[in-house]
Amino acid sequence: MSRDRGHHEFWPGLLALGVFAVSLWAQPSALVGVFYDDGIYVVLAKALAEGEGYRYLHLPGAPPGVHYPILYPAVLSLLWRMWPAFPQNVALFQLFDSAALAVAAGLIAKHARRWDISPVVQYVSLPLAFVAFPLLTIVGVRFSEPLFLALLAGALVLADREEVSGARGAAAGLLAGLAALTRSIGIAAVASIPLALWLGGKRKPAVAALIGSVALLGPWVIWLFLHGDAVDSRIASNYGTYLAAAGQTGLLGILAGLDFRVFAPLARLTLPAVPPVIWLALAGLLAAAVVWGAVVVAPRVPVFVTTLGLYLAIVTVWPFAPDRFVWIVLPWLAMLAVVGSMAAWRKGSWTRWPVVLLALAVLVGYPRREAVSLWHRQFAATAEGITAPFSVLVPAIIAELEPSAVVASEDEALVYLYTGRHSVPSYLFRWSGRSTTPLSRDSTVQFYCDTGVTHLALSGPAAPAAPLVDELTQDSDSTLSLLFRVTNGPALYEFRCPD
Amino acid sequence: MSGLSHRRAAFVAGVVACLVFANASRNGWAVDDIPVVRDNPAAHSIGAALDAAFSPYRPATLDESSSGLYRPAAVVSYAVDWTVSGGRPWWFHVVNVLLHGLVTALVVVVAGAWLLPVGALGAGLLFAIHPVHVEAVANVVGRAEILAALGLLTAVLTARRYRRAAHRGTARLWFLATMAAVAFALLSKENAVVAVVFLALDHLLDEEPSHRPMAELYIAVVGLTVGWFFLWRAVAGAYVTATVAFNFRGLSAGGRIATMLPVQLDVVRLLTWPLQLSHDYSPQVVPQRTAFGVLALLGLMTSGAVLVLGAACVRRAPAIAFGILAAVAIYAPTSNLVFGSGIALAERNLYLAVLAPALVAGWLTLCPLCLRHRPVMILAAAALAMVYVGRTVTRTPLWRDTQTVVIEGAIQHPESYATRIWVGGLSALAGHSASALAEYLIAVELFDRDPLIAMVSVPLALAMGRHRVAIDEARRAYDLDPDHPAFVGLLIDTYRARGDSDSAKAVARTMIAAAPRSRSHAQIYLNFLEAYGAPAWQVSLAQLRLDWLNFRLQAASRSIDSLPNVMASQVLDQEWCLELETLWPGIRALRPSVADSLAELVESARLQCDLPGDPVDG
Repeated sequence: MSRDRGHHEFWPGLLALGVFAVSLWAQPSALVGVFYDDGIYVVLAKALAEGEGYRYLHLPGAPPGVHYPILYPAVLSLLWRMWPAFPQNVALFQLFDSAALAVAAGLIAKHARRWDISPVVQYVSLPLAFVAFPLLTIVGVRFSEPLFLALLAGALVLADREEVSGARGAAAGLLAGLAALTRSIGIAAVASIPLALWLGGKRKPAVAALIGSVALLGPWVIWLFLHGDAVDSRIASNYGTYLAAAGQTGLLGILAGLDFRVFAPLARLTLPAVPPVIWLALAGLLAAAVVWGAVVVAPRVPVFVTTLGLYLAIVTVWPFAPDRFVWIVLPWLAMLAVVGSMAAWRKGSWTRWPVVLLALAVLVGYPRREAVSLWHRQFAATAEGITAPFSVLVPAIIAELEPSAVVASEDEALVYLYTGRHSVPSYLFRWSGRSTTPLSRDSTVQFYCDTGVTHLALSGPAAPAAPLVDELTQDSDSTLSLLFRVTNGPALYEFRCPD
Repeated sequence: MSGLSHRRAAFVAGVVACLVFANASRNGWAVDDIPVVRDNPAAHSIGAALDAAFSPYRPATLDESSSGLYRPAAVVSYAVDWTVSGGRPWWFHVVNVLLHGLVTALVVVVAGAWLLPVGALGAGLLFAIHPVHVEAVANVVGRAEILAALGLLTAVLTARRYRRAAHRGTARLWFLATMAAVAFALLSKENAVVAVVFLALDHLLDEEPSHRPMAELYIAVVGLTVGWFFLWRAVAGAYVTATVAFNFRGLSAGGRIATMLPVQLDVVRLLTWPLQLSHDYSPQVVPQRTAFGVLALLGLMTSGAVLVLGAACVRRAPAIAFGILAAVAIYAPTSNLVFGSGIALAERNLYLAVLAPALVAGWLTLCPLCLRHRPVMILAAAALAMVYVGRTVTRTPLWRDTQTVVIEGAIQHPESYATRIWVGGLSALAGHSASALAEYLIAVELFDRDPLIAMVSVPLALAMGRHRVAIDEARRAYDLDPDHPAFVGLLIDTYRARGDSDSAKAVARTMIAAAPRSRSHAQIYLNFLEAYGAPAWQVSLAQLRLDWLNFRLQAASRSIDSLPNVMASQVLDQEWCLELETLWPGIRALRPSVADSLAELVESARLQCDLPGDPVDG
């Protein structure tokens, strides 16, 4: 065993250890639920842990959970059972998420060995990608991405081999199925792994992978089929199935608004602030480098390239903002960009200038941004900023409101978790193509009345429900009466259903 | 001893360890046993211990903050004992002794990597009878040390099996066993944080080649340690307890090191010639030092020499190298040389550090020079063993109960301020108030940087009508830690008890001005005003402050709404200013319009209040 090979052998473990330590260090002092989904995951975990079933406990009537796949809340529920004291037990969730990201890092590094590229590409790009502030932001809140990435990377490690047995194919399919049970977009892996194996002539493992995934996803699909309609249509945008969301947007709506900004998050992270035309040109170069990198490694890791391609295609098509979906595959994109740039450099002199230009742009744009983020912990700033108004609202609700109160609020899961009061979204919307439209004032008020809302909380004057509150308070026979309002800060109102 | 195998040597050493400490079974609860085991509901049933698996080892008593310790494995072991014995202390002591026997046997097995069975037996026997173990074995809570040692030595042995495993499946099992042992050690006591050092030392000194990539194991162990560290901080808060760090209060990092370097001489003495033992190394047993003197230099040289000896033995005598370097590693986190970890020295912390003299003894058993003078060496070893056993057997009963420990401490270290506090406590319990107060005051004379003494001395002095003494003591505590609500409250109560309301009021004012956002301070202030019979407006303002800080925002808003009327009916003076200044951020945030009208009232009364503008503008 040569010295270099020796180093390369334990590189995945070393990377995983570093990612684990940095992820733990990056945990913010923020409330759970500040990024919305994180709160709902924890509510669902609490419901499972307390034997209430897979339900949105915070909503009156506790409708079944049909929007968020079950695996991540199920894992959190196990941790919740070990340590049932919320919010102290959030430390366990933080440990788990950090460990999942670390495992993902190790598996990605292990998978990258098969790319047949210089280890230096990994040594440079993976640590930089894993400490990039979007990833630190994601691992700092209770998002399912770290678990998803670990499962997806595990599936690719199993499937991207020269020889794949039926058992390995089935295992890869199972992991892809678990990834889809963690984030719905994991469906990309469920489809792409059997497809790539099949196209590569590995038909038996391809079928095994498909069977593995389908067997795992079957019960979840049945659950969705049985309970998909149980959620109030007025909150289906947030709580309904993805089919319900697609029904609102309409296929034509999606396609009409189709954009190709899937690489924009990567460009925003790495490129300097320059005039838009130059920025777009540089972003185009960056996208080209990623694509070139994918072309270079495709013969050696076809399953990976197919999966990433399908993943990004779905992100491009569906109406949700691409950022979160792109951030979590950032380590792969970063490596592909480096591989593509190196391939372009080797191609000939005419391709070297764009590479130099791109490298200079990244050197100007990324290190300073990243250094500032790490030094000032800016990756935690958003979560901690959103926490600020709730650190007034939460104790005020506990101190002021009856336990039976129902609060309409942003981040309603957060309100429920920390106050024990039922809560509903204060701002209701429906998808319209790739954008959203608020429900009418009357529909929203009717929803408040139907769900028994007694109070309305606002995080500040810029809260999405603030215009509605302004309207309601200006009525002569107002349904809202102010309990308190901190200047330019949160406010709490008592809500009365109109006669 | 041609028929002696390592296994038999381990058994013999383990049995000797149990026999030497057998008289510990006659001990009861002493000192920390009482809060940690006897009075701790979590230690009384396995279910309760598991429920408390994510709770600190023991809560601090002063302000309900965490003690900073996290040892769930130790608590579970107490709970198992309680369930088996119904809470009878003798059983806990028997288990401690048996565990010590088990650890001793493991020492023999670990030493077996470098020493023949006779040598390993020698190492095990010295470990078995070493007097410095008394504090860990004869006191129930010393079990945390023993369990951590058990985990660490088991991890060393399982890691050896992992290194030597021929098959991948077997290796994987030993890998997992090592991780489990390290986890157990970490959950038993925090000093197991050095587990990876133990594994690396054993690997480095092992003459057999490794069949497995050890880097993976090291990475996994470091990862486990990092995760445990995060969990420890999350469960127990700050990892260094504030309440036990009085040895270093007021000292810079340099002063701490200057204080601790001479203590290294004590450490070496305790490991090599442990005839003089103590449970107390608080001031002035370990005096504070601000400058480096001769003793510090000696301590530095001795520590350096020990390290050099350990390094020098790596090739020639790996057993000694392992013993010394492992001892240094296990002692380092509590040495206070790298960072302040709290208490200056505790003999229980040296439990596994005894590996150093033990392995030296084991090596000496087989060294050529010793073999040449075998009769002399046997005689010397027997004499040493008799001295050690004698000291251990006579020392063990001193941990019978708290009173015995305290009395022994007072006789041995009259210069110890901590012992004086204990003696004072016992005197107070016996109803001898005067002598109790005298002991507390002597404790202050010996070491005046511990504000906690006032928590016991002031109430006693007040009860005895010694107001002057009470005020001096309360003032001393307040000066040492003016931000701590307990000491502020104590000083205010003391002034009030003497009828000096003006002084009490001045202290209360200073307190609320210094920490206008502290709920506990606001509560103390309100309590004081109500008890003092302050004007109604002042009480209502104090209530308003507390409402605001407790987020009772409706009540606070109502109070603010009524403020202009209240103020309009009063003569506004500088007292109002003082109140308004600390309340202003709340008023401004909740009712900006009322704040504007109050500002006008202040201005019309020509008061010079320091009322900031809208915080949002700032």
